[in-house]
Amino acid sequence: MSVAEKRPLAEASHVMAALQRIWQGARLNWATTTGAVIVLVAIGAAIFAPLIAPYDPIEIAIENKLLPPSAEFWLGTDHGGRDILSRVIWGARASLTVSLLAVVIGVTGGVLIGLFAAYHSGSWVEQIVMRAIDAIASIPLLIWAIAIIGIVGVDSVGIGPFTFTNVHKLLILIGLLYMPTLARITHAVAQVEMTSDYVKARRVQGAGNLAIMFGDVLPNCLSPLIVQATLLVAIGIVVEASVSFVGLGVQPPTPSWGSMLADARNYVFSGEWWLPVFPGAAISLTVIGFNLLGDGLRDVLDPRRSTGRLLT
Amino acid sequence: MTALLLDVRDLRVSFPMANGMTEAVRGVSFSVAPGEAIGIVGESGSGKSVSALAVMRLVAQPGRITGGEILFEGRDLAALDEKAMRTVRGRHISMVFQDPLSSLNPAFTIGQQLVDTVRAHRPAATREAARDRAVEVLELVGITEAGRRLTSYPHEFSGGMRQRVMIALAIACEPKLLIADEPTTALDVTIQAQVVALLWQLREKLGLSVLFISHNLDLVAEICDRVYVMHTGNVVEHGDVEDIFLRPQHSYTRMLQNCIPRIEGVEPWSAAARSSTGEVAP
Amino acid sequence: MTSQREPEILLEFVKARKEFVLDDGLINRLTGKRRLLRALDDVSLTVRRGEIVGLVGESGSGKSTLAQAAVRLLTVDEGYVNYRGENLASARGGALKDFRRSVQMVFQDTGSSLNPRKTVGRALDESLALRGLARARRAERSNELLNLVGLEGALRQRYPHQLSGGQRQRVAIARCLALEPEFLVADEPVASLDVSLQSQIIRLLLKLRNELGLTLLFISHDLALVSHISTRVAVMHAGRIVEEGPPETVLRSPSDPYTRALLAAIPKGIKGRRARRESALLSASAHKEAAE
Repeated sequence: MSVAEKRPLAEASHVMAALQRIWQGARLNWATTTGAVIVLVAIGAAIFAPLIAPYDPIEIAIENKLLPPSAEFWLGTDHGGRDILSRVIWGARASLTVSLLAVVIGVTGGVLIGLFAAYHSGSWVEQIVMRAIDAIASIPLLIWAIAIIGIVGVDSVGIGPFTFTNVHKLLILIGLLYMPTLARITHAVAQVEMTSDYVKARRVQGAGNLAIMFGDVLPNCLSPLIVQATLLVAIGIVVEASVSFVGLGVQPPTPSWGSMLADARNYVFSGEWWLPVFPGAAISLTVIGFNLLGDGLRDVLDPRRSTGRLLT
Repeated sequence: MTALLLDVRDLRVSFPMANGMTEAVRGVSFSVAPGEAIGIVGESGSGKSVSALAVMRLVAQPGRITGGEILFEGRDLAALDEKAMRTVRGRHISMVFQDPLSSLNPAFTIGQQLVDTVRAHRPAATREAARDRAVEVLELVGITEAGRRLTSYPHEFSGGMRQRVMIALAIACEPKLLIADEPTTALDVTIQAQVVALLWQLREKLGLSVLFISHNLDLVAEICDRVYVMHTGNVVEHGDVEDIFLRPQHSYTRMLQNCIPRIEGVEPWSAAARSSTGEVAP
Repeated sequence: MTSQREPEILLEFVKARKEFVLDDGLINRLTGKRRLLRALDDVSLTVRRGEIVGLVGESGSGKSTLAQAAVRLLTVDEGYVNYRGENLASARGGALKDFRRSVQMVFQDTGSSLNPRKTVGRALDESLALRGLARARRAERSNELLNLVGLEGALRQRYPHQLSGGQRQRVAIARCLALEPEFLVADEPVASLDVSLQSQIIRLLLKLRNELGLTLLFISHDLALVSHISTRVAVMHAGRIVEEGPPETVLRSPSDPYTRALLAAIPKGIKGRRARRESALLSASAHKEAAE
């Protein structure tokens, strides 16, 4: 046991206590554990793709065209003779970059908007913010994404010293489109928390508004937000795949699960089943993984709930 | 000596916890004679409510009755199957809970709820007969213009009126025993007095037996004949209400009694202020 | 007037009114059909230094609104709420900061008055920081405060849900004391506790009042309880203060019918039972006579 672990609980930070609860809870629940393992494998594949992918995912080797799964190419090859396994591993990069960073953007913006609206609870400011959010959220995410990328185009855009590739545009766009959902959740939970006695007590004690919103209200909104965030990662994977499928997402030759599926379209009925099945399975598994993890976290994150409950 | 209506012997109720079973009720015995009102007094966690729920066989899962007999008119309720138990609930024994708002279904009028309750136990009764009975019990619990109030929804009643409706529901099928679990705790003091007076009247008019559960010894003493004092799952003292009240033997009973502030013995402040410890006069 | 100097007035309500809109909504707003609840109706009340003023009322009487107005969680529509002669509605900046230190509040629901995600130590730490105590001294002071309310310092590492209701209320009181207030508003501080804990918390409040020279505004639905601990009792009904005076006067010769109803409603224990018995016998014999 390391020195750090021996320190008493009070010294450990808030995050440490939360992690401890996650660990204690997750250990007991097979569904959460399964979800966490899938998520870790996917993230590991994305990070270590250059090390673990057996072949180059982009270089075309026509002589190996459309080979079925074998000892040499475990998941077979595509019409360009590229190894499907390597492309699925590299594809995790595109999928997870888009979905995870989009959620980070979405949570940051959504929380700020939601807390802002909740702070102005009862005033016209709240009304305007929340109605605007309703308007945006009334059109489905995927339609927004396809429409806007369709208008803006898939080419890289340079703004000052930064170059935005289509992947960057996509993840920022999805992040922006997540904000309404997360802002609504934050607003709803924060509004309830703000009427609670502990917030009143802080006000009576003279704590500042920012300290109350971020130090008291926000931590109590986190459970539903984290759960929603994990579910949105799953949605992000599907959105990226869908947008790439219609050719507006990750641009060839960069592999992504969605564009691999799009490429496989022509081979579905001609017997090359391994082309659509493996990227499809990668999408499904990762989505299930994030969903399981999200469900598990919901039960574990709340300090009021005892970890013993997960036994039953 | 008349036959007992309810005779609970050595009742045990346990709840599984992370580290084994925890006994909430540890071998409790109590009895109710026909027409008698008994009180069970104790604080939260004493096992008083769990004991009452056990009589109705309504202990919340995963808790369960692990021992003892619950003899109601000689039949052991602990051994009945769930189907037979359903005919006992409401028909022979009924119950009133602490929170009248969550005990009534907000989606139905109180008339519908009363008629359904009556017909559930008397399938032969016509809709008109059930409706008449509903009006009758509403009048019995002191709700004026009962016929008109049948079409009202629970939220249209005040807290005290809702508890009257709950009592009407409970007595609609002429049960022999009414279990009242902290029926006045959620109510204002003035409304509490009305509900207690109502329970007393029902005893006199209908010969109803009452099992009254409360944390307030003064309240229990107002309407009960005998009292059981419960503490950490055990009955620590029981007996005639006058004995328990005037000559409590157990220190816990004395403590419970001393904790209730009473309007007698309020000294002019100067006298109480003299004790710098801030001792509260019992 | 008496020549004896009375203690300084700390809190003062002057003809205070507060209304709440019950069914707010666009349609009701446009049609002007809004029902109003008058929570405070022309309320005047003074609390002098060192007093324990007990405010009695049932649900909906406006007593909690009064409590919140007293600590400026809300401001009144008409009239004034003054603290040491300063109108609270116009207090800003430094004056408001001073007020926040001087007046603290104990809440009813021990389950929600502490932030469930903060340990006891962290909660006290934050309050001591607001008091301006140096970081290095906070742990020691937290221990002192916990000891003052009858708890052990080891509880600093606990979360609220790991404490009993009585312990939570003690922590809530310690949190108030961290700011070293002179005035404590206690809104039903014992209503959610078991009877044995109730008297412990009451004793604690009175002990602290005597040791620290606190002034108390004690709000409760329980007339008997309030009478025992207050130097002055005020009875509230439908937004108005209907009766005010020393407890023994209010109990022995109540002038308002509502106070009399409250008094009559207090469970009388065995006496109440005997009275019921007698009246039952009387009515039975009356029945008999009528039948004969």
